[in-house]
Amino acid sequence: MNQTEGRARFGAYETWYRITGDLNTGKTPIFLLHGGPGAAHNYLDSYKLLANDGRPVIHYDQIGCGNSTHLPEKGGDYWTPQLFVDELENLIDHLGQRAGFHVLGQSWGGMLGAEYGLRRPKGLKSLVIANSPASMALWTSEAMRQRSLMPQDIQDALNTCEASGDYDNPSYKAATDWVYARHVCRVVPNPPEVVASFTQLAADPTVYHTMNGPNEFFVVGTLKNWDITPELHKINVPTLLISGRHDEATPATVQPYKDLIKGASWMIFEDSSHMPHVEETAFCMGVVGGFLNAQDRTQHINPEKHMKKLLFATAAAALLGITPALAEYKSEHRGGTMRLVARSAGGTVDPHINYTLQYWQLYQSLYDGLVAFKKAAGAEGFNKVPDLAEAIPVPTNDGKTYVFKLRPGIKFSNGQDLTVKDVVASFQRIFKVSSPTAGGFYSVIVGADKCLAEPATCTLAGGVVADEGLGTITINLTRPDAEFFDKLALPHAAILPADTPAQDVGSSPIPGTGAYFISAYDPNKGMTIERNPNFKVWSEEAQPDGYPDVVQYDFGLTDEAEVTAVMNGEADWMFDQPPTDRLGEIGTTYKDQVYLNTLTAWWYAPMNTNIAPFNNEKARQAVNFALDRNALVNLFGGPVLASPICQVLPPGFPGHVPYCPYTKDPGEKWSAPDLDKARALVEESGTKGQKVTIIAEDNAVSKAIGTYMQSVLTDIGYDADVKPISSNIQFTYIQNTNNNVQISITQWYQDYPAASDFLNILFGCASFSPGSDSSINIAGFCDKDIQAKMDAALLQGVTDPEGANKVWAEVDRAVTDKAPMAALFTPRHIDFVSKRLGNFQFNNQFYWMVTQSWVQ
Amino acid sequence: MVAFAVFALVVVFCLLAPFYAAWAGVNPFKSTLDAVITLNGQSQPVMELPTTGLALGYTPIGPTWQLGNYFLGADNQGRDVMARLLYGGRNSFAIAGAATAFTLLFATVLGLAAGFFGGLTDTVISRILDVLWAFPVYLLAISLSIVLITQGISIGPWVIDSGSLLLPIFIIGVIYIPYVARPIRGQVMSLRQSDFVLAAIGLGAPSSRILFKDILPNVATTLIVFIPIMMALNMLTESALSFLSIGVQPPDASWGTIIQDGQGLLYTRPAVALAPGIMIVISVLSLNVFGDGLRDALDPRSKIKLRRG
Repeated sequence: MNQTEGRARFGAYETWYRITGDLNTGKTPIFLLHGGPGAAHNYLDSYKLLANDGRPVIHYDQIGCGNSTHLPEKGGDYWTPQLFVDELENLIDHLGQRAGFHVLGQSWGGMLGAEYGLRRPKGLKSLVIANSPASMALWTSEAMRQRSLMPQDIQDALNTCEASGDYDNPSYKAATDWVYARHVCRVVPNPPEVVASFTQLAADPTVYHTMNGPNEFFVVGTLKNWDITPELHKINVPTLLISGRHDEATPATVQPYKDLIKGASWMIFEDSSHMPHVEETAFCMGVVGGFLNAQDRTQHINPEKHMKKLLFATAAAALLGITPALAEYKSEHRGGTMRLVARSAGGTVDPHINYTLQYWQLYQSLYDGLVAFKKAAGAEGFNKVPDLAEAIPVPTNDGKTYVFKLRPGIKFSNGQDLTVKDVVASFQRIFKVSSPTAGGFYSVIVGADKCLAEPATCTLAGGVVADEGLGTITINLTRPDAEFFDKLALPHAAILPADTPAQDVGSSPIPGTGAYFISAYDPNKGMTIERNPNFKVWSEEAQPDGYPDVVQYDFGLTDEAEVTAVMNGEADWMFDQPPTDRLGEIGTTYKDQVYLNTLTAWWYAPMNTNIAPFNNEKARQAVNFALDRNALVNLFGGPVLASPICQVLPPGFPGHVPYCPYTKDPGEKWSAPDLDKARALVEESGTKGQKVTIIAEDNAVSKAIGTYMQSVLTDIGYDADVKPISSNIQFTYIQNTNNNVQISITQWYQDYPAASDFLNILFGCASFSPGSDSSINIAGFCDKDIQAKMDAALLQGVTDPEGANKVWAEVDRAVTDKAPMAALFTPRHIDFVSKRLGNFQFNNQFYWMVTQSWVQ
Repeated sequence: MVAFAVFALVVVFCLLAPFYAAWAGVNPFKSTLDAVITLNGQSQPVMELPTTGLALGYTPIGPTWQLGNYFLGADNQGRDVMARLLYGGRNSFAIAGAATAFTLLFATVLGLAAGFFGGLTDTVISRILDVLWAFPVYLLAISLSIVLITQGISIGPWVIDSGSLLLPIFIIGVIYIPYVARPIRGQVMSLRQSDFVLAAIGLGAPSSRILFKDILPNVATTLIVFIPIMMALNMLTESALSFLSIGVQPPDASWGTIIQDGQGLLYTRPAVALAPGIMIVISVLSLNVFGDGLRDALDPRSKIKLRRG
């Protein structure tokens, strides 16, 4: 990539800059504001990758550091935010870019960016505020809070030296290094460009010491009282916020930006701290590049006079799921036919039986439960809101009794009124049709044991009781259940008309209360969804009105054909993930039509803890040490599409505390495989030379991973082979102990956001049933101590969810240590949509909200 | 003869596979995702992530057209396709050859027995062959494969392990037995009525002597003609089964499995699927032409026909 350097005169001094790419390509340039203050451009080097899209990227050193003029003699009154704003304005004019530019500021640079943005400078197209606090008071209080969670010896070292002012003490240095490796840059040792910034900062710390202080969490300089929150509302350009989950700029310090800048989007990088551009480079570039491209595109189409519309459209078009939560209904987009395609149908259309992501996603606008997951973008979609019930009740009777009041005036799509009788019948029907989760999720209802034994005569007497006069439904449980509302919000607890047949309806759709209904369904051809003529909005959060008049879902295309159909605009969205072969093309030519979202899911390799060689803990750990997660991530499509993991709970999930014992330099994060250790463990375990068969699925990705694992297992001393078997039977095949599967490759996607849905379901003793095709504890793992801890956590969750999550974190560690599986990676989800599709919103619970997008 | 030369050349190349792999310094059965090669003086990773756009997808290197240096590029595990092609050819030929031998051996025995002894023996053998032949070939092969590939097979003291190459040999060998056995049986039946056999019987020669001295030499030409035809047919079947993941199991290669690996790369790296496809076409075509030539050379009637024409 072409780079040119230069110097701009700024008063008596000079600003050094570097342009990556060509300023004359016509693509709007981006100016990068470094942090510190005084840390120089070096550590932001990786943002030059934004130039791969043809966008000129301008790094510069703020005055007082790096290659710009140093002024060690200047005092505190000289180094003000206004000085740096003036310097940036000067540089923009010097380079002749007043016509239009983006600004990205990181850390202090983001604070400066906000200062700059609220002055509404001419030409500013958008603002990216990366890893920055909105006020130093928040920053300090969060730093103190983070500190209180650190190990005692670290805290002691920091406190002692700060009290005595002995910042050069080696123990202080060691303690700050420890903190930096967790909350500043988690890539250790730091890459050269980061080291360069720190080195030059140490050589001339004038600006840093004057404005900030001796280190990142000890702010005594002129910025000490800096607070931009009162003025944030003045920022009127599309704004993207990014921060890391482990960032010293914690979510609490970023929150004011989100709350006070209109339409601001926010992306948190789960595996990053203060430098996502270094810690998750590819993903970070994807997010920022996608945002900038969306801004360029929208502003190109819309003339400036439509500023209000533009603001909304840009926020909505922002790639990668960083979209606003709820937005007002845009009636000008109402209507049209949305066309979806998939390789095959998702099976029965019965919401009490179907257990596929494919239809659960559609059911959101078709059916309702007493409560629902909020129809909102991002993690807000994990929240429960009242749906057919007027409110979410507070349980009584020690958490065992719930009284729901039904909203009046709701009709089914066939015109029938919704009554409490329908609710009682629907709960009975869950058992009568033997819903796949009847035993797992709903057995906690009084009378459920009888219904499970004799489904046909299920009454749930005493469990679900209706009062027609009051319009209430009382649900009694046998024990408190912290996850009961989650379970009620799933399609398996959808409320259907009381006269629905008590058997799997197969391909005859059942009327629902949602905004749409299924007007035709042929599993071999397709499904047609139309507006429910009897629908009136009762809660925007639970069941909003949709945009398209008709959704036509066609089955029977190959995934290659699906990609081509979306590219040609013949389809608006494809259900299946695009084949890896087409990803390169989709990621470049069609990158503006791609939305990437992190899933609360994992790919893992369960190891049978009951047969050789993996009944030996050391053998299982050896596999964990040997697997190169980066290679696996690449086989899945690269670091933009997956992140390595070692533990059970995915990032961003309740109870997740980063933990990775199976890597070179064990700690919180996977860094590299440790083959020597793996070979030693195999040797110690005495399983060397044993035969191991890996059961993979016969699709391209699973087979590639299986082949790769075969290579690794051979490498560490096993006689390994891999058998890819049909995806249709592999998942049940590996569950059945009669098949003696030693190790397999599979995935798990959450049903609802609770740690138990991973830990207790996949590794709980109750989920292991030998000889059965549905024994989801594939590893056959059952550890009494761990199970006792899980039971305790489940109980504690009823009253103390926070405390319970801490216990779940311990369970996660314990299970990971016992290694009944090798965790491979957390996948990201690709939604590839047509050019015309607008208002894409990704809900973390049920994925893309189909009818919330428009096609005209 | 030209056809045979072409076929022989392909076989020789494939036999040289280990030498090629050693010379090129690659292991065609080990995933080498992080391998780096030197190409035109520059180092280049074998598997690459794109640097433009959203950086999606992981693409193997394409053909370099430099022998010994990923000549045909890499597959999705970063393995040298050229080396795999040669090794795959060995497996394809080995399976086709062994299956042909298996088919011919059992078909001859069954055909001779049914045709010569007739009566109950003939009825039993013929009906079994009919049942076998009633199934569409691929359907039978696929159903046998699914059962056998996951479980392995044990007949008395012989145990064939589920990953073994013997399995596809056995499966393909079995399904084509009727294809050969029935014409042999027909020929034996007509030979049984011929004067010299009747004379031998009349002289009191034992059955074994008649079978091996009088009948077998007369069906030998038919069998020889069947060899190239069955080879070609078996290669196609093997490729088809391997392509459907029920023949040769990874990380072993055959031309069918390489085509399957290549199917996932058809859009970006078509060479991976095309190369084994072309090899199959060349081998099968040369075998068929050779088989036709052999038949013409060995069949006296076709010569008479030629002269008349």
